[in-house]
Amino acid sequence: MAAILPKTQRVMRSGTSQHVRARHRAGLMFALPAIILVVAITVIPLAQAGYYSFTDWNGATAHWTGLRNYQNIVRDPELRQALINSGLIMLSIPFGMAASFVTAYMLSRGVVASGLLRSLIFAPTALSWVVIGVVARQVFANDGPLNNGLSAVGLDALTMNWLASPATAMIALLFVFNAAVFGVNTVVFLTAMSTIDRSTIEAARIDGASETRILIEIILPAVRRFVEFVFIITMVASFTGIFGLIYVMTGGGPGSATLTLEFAVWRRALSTGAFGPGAAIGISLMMLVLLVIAVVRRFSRSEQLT
Amino acid sequence: MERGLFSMTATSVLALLCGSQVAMAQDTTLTLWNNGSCPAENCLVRTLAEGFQALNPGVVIDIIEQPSDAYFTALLAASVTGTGPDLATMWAGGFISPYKPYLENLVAYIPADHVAASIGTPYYAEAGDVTSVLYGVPTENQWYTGFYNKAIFAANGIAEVPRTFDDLLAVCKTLKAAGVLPIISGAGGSEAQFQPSFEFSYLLTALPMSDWNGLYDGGLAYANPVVTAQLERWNGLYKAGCMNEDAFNRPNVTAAFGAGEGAMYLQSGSWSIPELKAALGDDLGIMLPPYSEKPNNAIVSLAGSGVVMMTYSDQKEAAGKFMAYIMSDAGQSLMAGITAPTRPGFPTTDPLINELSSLSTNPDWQNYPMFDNFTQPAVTDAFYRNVALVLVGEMSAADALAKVDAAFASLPEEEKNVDYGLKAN
Repeated sequence: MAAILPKTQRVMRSGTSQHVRARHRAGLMFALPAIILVVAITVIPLAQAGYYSFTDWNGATAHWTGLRNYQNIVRDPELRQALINSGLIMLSIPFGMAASFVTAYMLSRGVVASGLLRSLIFAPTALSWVVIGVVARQVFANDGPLNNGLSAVGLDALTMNWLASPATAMIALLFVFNAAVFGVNTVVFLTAMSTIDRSTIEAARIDGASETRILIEIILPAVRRFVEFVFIITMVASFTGIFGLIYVMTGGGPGSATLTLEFAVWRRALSTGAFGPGAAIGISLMMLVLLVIAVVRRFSRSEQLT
Repeated sequence: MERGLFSMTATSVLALLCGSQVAMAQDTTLTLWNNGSCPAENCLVRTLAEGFQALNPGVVIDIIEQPSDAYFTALLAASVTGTGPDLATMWAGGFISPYKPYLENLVAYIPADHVAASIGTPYYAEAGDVTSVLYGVPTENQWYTGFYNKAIFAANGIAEVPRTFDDLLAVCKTLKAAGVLPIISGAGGSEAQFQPSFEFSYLLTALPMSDWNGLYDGGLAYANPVVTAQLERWNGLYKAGCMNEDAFNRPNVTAAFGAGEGAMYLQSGSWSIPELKAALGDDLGIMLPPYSEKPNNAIVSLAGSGVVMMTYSDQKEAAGKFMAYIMSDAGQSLMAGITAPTRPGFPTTDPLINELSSLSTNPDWQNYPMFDNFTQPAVTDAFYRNVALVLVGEMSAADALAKVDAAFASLPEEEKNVDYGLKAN
């Protein structure tokens, strides 16, 4: 093709491609520090963790053990429990999101003192997980506000040491986690709702659509991207960001009742010095998170097509 | 003239350089990593370091307080790369195992008679033999022990400290009837649950020492009838209402006991004596957890902490002298001012420590080591999480011990084959 182009055109094209190459080189040079940084602090450690997950590395020596660490994740009852617990937290997220979504809708409709309510709802998001854990531990303590409140309304039969029983400690953790992300999720949904064309909603209202129908058939589809975003960031937080909360609130117990995969990484690697098995749990956790994100993205895309 | 001036200047510079070299040769700095903070008022390693420095001008021991949470991991990581300290504090027993490739054998540095006289050195030696490989020197003796409040006992007409499960239940009944919490239980500090190791060690004194070796190497299952029965009786105390309802996870119980809450506190050790004595004064009494059917002359003690020398230290001569100093009469005397020395013949100023020490050296009493100092980390973790639940009835004794056995079974073979050389005294 190039051979039959007039010479002037060929010169122009050659000049253009040189210019493009020069721009690419310049771009690469500008990006190089960032690339080096990412490779140094993310890619290399990740590759190392991947390698060590196939060894019995104890911090000092490492022997190749093949798939043993990964097989143990499936066989070990404690890690199976951790997997179930992580799954339970993930399954609780839609319920927490629903509460955030409805609250955001109410606020967007301009309820009384909505400005103050927004501030009150968002303020707790400034708290660290550790502080939230400390407060939650007090709330659920045997002589804490929850039991005192139940006693005050004559529900003594329901009072219990919430964090000492495997059956109730997980419920408490689910509640605290979703309560902690409630504020930030509500604010994201509020922002999402502010992007919707109000005239569509008004038109639906004039046509006699109920509030529930407006919420489900107009608002929800319009903010689907935000819903997906909130689910993903909350899910990632549940898998990889609440170590501090669990450490302070329950220590992963009682027994293994509130042990998550993230907590298991710490327990195996740092608490018992089994860095190889800990790395295998960490890699499995990362794969699981990526898998869930991929499923959510695929589901979202197929919904869009229909 | 100019040449003379140059010559004088050169000579002066040379003299200064030589002088500084002499000074540098004299100034040897040893770094010592301490596990956690070292409170200024009773920091044992600092006291020992200052005593050593006074005798060895030019040697400075730089104590670096490392956070407790990541201490052992940080020490291991630094040792792998050879960038760790010259000296480090270390706990006895199984804690030493991962560090053995990086620990200097101290046999050549310390007089053999001092090593042999110490009751703690076998726990820092390979298979308990202090004449072959000695990985560290103990800096104190510690005991797992419980406490009782003498004033509460006296006010309720209790003259004898319980020595059996039945005694304990009887005292518990008396105290409950008087509206007093018999036993306070929970986390010593802000941990999420109580630490069962202290009581578990005493519960296991129902087994002879030879069986402890069996538990460590898999020769005897944890889920055996004796241990199961012991845990069930322990749970019986909770069921009988002898403890606070939130015995599993009540925080700060050491301080609460010091404030007069609870007549007995059985989940601690000799390290709590200074704090509790400051709070209760002469009302504080020593009470070994009476977890047996008949009076059992068993006491759980171990070299609480010690110091090791790293193989990659380039100041081994000075570091070795410090190790010898710790075990010397001068070092043991300094120890006695703060805690229990590891060599007999150095009484402390604290009568409660002396009481524990006299029990340990009494030939009619059996010394057991702190059980969890020798268990494999995964096993320790399993009994910490599961055995604790037995106390408050959230898990059966059989289930909890089966989980501990499962943790043992999942260990790599090399971790199962341990021989600590534990012997009855």
